[in-house]
Amino acid sequence: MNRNDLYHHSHHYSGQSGDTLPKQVVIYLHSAAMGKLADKLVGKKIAVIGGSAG
Amino acid sequence: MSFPISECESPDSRAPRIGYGAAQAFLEVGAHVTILSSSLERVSDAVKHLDSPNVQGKVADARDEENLTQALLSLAPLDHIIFSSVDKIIRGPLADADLEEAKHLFGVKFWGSVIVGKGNCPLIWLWALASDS
Repeated sequence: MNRNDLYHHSHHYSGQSGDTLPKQVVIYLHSAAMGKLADKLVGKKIAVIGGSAG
Repeated sequence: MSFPISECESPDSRAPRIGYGAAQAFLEVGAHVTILSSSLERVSDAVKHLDSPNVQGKVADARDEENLTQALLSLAPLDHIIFSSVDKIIRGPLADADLEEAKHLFGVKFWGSVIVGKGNCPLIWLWALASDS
């Protein structure tokens, strides 16, 4: 996967408007990477600080 | 396995929510997730929308070392900690910036991360000792 593929497969969040910061936050959870992680995350106890927003 | 945007959208579309999306992704793969936020309302809202038997919420303030440390200790042992907290976002022209307000960005984003690291030092040592035995 190259950068263009990454871009096209990325998920875009519209951020708050601002003049000095990027207006989009890109969240991309690569399917292959998550596939590999998935088995290791089953049943794990995870704290997400800022998980209601972040 | 993928996580399309529709599955990662937060209940409040006003802000980008990486932490919420991460929590949702972890729940999808079967992890047990605790959401921590300084706002009870936002914690409750996130837990409600995540709608999983494996998610719980806890109020903790990343500006407050004692408060955040105790919250994390109450959840121990943890396998992973995700830190995505942010407070004041610096917006607009620098010339117009209120620097006293802007300092809160680092108050949470930087010092909050340091608090998490410091608070978990005893647990990391215990884990390391247990792993050696």
